[in-house]
Amino acid sequence: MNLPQISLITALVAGGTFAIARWIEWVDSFFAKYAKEEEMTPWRYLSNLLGLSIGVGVLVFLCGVCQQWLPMNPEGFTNLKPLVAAEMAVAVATHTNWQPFAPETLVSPFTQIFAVLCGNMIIGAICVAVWRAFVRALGRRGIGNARVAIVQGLVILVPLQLVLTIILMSQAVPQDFFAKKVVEGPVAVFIAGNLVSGAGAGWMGDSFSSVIQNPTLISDIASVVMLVAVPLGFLLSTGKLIERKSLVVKMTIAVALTLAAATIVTMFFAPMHVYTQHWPASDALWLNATAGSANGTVNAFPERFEAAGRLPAFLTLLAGIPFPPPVGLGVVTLFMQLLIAIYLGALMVGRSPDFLGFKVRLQEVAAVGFGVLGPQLVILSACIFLVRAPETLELIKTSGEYGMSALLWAIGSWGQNNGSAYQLSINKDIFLETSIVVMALGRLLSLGAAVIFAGLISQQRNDPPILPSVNPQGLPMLMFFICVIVIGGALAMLPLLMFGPVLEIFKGGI
Amino acid sequence: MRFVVWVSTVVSIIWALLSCFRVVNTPAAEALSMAGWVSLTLIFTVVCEAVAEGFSRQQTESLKAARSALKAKRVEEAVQNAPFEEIAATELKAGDLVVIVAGEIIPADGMVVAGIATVDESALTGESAPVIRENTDERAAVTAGTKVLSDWIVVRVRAVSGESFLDKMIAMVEGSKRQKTPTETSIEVILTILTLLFLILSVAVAAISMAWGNVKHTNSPFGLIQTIGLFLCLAPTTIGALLPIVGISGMLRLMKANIIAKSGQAVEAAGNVDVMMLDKTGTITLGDRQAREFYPVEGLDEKEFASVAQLSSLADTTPEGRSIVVLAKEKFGLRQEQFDAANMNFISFTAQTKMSGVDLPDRQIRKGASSAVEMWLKNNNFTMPSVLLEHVKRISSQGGTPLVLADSKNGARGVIALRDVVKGGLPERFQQLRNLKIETIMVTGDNPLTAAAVAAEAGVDRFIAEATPERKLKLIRELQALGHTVAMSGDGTNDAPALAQADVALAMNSGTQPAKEAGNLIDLDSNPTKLIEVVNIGKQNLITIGALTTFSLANDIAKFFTLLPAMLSTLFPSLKILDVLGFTSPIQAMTVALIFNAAIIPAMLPLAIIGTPRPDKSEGLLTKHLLIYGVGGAAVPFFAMKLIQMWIP
Repeated sequence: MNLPQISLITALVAGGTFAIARWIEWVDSFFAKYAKEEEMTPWRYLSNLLGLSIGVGVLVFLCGVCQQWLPMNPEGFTNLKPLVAAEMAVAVATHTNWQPFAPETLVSPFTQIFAVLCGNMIIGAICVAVWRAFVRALGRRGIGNARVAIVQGLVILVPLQLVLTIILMSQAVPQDFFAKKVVEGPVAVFIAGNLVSGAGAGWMGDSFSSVIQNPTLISDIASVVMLVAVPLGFLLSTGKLIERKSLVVKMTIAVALTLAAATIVTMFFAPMHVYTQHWPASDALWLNATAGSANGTVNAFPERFEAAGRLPAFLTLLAGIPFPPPVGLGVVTLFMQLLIAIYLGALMVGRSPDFLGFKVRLQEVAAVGFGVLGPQLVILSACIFLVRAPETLELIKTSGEYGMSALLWAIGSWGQNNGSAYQLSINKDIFLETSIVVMALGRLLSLGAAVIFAGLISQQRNDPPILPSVNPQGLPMLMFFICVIVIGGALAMLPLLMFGPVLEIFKGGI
Repeated sequence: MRFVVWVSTVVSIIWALLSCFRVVNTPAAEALSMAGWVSLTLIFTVVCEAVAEGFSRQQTESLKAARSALKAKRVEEAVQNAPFEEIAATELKAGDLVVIVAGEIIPADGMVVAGIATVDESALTGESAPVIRENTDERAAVTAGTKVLSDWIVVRVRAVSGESFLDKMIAMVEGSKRQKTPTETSIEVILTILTLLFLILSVAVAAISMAWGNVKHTNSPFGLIQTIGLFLCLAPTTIGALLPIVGISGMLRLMKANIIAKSGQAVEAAGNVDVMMLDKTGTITLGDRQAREFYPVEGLDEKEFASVAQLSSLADTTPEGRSIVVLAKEKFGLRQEQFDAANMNFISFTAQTKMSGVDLPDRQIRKGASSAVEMWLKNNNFTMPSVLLEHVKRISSQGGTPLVLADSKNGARGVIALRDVVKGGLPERFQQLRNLKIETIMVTGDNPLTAAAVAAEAGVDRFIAEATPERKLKLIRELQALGHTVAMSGDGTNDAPALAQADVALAMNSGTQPAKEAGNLIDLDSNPTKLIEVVNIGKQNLITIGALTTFSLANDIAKFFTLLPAMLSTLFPSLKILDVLGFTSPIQAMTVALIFNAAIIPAMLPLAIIGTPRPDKSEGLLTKHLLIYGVGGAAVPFFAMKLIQMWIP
């Protein structure tokens, strides 16, 4: 284990998190002061977000199926097949960005920049809008207006994208809108945007493991710091905005420590196959952070790590464990899980459950149940559907437990709207078709439940606050909170691991 | 939950039967054995339901028996022998007068307006000792279904059939009508979502293992019956089966305490109370002034003064008079064994003289209000010493009542201080509440000095002096606005607005109708201190639900680690290394898991019925319960399944 590497990355992540949190707080106070907004009902808020998502999806689809007639196509890529374009469109619209192909071989820079990147930034802003509704609801300010929230999201994300773009350009990452070759195109702005917005994916098929995208140690460290600091920044800023700074600081530390623990496990088990261009600590952190934050970028494909080393990331991905919480939306998921922990904790001290001063009614419980467990239901259903397919059996026959792991990772990636993937391609039509449904359902459940949950909390904004049933900041409660998330996730997803990742450790699948 | 257990069992049995006829491929012995163990979960689930139903049926049948076929003797006048008209109790209207004589059942809830009788209320409360009912504030309320044992009473009907306490009590415990608490309802939603999740998970496990079996040309360890077994092991069957029992047991605990809950929400809110408002008189203090100190004049020994005071009170039957006798006895062991009753003439207290006392052959002794005794002294050519006047002033200012004692031979002898007495054991109970982080507020109409003295003695956290109904209401609203859950008890019409505002409002059965309507809990014993009991019962219910839920979910972790590697080891021999219990076969693993899954339900039944131990402090409670029910819930299955494994070949 390399302590200097870990220390430097920890310091940079901590500094980056703090700075980004301050930036988010500043933008929020600016909007609170100057933006005039009409309060929306939760359903209207949700329909605005879903409407815009669908609009983005349609744009991506149209660009994909028409790209040969559009400009900025130096290598003359033909139009994408409708199924491939549809998959790409849903992947962008659902903030998943999972594609079973290498973009530099199929997608023109125009489609990448004006459809995929713009789409990803807008969808990232939608995630911020969900977070904003929730934060406002907890602050008893109503959920606000979806359109204003999306603008605020863009105002937060775009400058961060520019900062990372400049850093990457300084490290010789290509940035040329009119390049003759796709690989020399506007790579820096594209990957910076995808990374900051939490959408993930890269210009190249192998993402940040490509030397074009990630040429130096500085580009690597800057990217991984942004990968972790943006999600944590949203979490940290939530504390000030809901006036529970101490609680959220402790939550952030707890999340960061758990992520660090997973990273150390990966480092401990991974030295054999780790990607050697950059630091092992960065690689291990990247793997675990991209699984937790549902970002999807990788700088080393999961199979480059020993099977035991990628086990924490596998569980995180399948169960949707938000360590760190995906940009914006993940903060809401994390607080939903806090509600579950407080719910059980309150009962165990003989109190009715509360949630940070709000009543926990049947509706909140149902919203949290579907928000947290909904994507898992979708993933499990997809497993049942896909394992019957001949393509899956063929995959297992040819690749054994490794193939099964690749498929499970892909299904988890779709359902949790993550986007990362094994190097092994899961690209048959049935997988693409299933991925479209799974990505859409996973997104609908998590986004819908989060907005409804914010709306339900907001309904109580005029009620007197309830005193806490348990101290959510106490060490027992924080530990229980982490256990609820990890064990709760493991309850549903641990059995799946037995058929792939665990088999990879002990061998003997085929 | 019951539905899925039923379906699982029926499908397993059908599958086992099909295997017997070789319609399906599963070995018949294996299928029958599995179906048997699956059925065990159903049996225990049904047993638990039967226990819950049994509890409620036993209680409701007793209550219904008390209600059925009641006749009423309606009268026009509230006298014993007034002519009556016999009608069915269901025909009674509010305001009707009914006469009930010894041996008859009271036909409706109401208030005694004439007569006195001993009443057996055991049908309602289970308490066998009869109680007195008469036309006084505390003893006037009677309840339908109870039996007059002696004498007679005339009752003015207050609640008609269908709205009586009896009807409400039946609804409280009758399974189908029982009002679930909000937490019970929300736990059911969580359990439903988890059941769905585990059902899909079990099918997914079966489907993936079948795919692997297909690829490896071997049988999957998860056939239909094993999949059902896996599902039953993972589904939260323990808490699902026990939840109704916890709910009914909570209600029965309330009923045993003679409290009627108007809603499930009220029971649950009781567990959340963090501020308790208690009336001083009758709740914190006994309500009767009692002698607390003797202040003799200068030169007179306190014991001698106590002896004179006791002598003057020997025939005094008022609580105050009796307390003087008791105080002298307790303080100085005085018993007045040698007094000569024949030569003593006891003078009773009258409103005119404001004094009582005794005439002895050599002197007259008087005790009474300062002004009256001062006048009496003046008539006997004595004056009141200034030091006694100071005592009188001080005692009055502290909320006490000074009684001046004088005799016709020596003049003023001293002052007896009477004060309201704090009920025994209350300071300890308030300390217990403080440990649970429940603040106690004493509410009184007394002046601040008096209130402060009683508050300090009782050990309440704070007090509100010179309280009016409006002030009480305002205080409750202020506390609620700060997020507190407020409980209060009350009996008067002027308490009604505050009772209606409080989160937990315990109305006394002896109280006025508006108070009862405003309260969400009614105490049939009319004991205001029972509010503390209500809070404890509410907390105990919630802790029991939380403990069983956590325990049930924590069990699953152990079941994963024990069951899955053993089951999958036939498909993937390398996974045998993870089989920590070393099962000999997948059938043994599944059998052991199913037996554990079924057996844990009756094992936890006592906890569901009796409830978790009542907490005595809130500090460390979360950690303690997380360790017991969380960590314990994850660890217990390993040991229990190992024990079962030793028994199952």
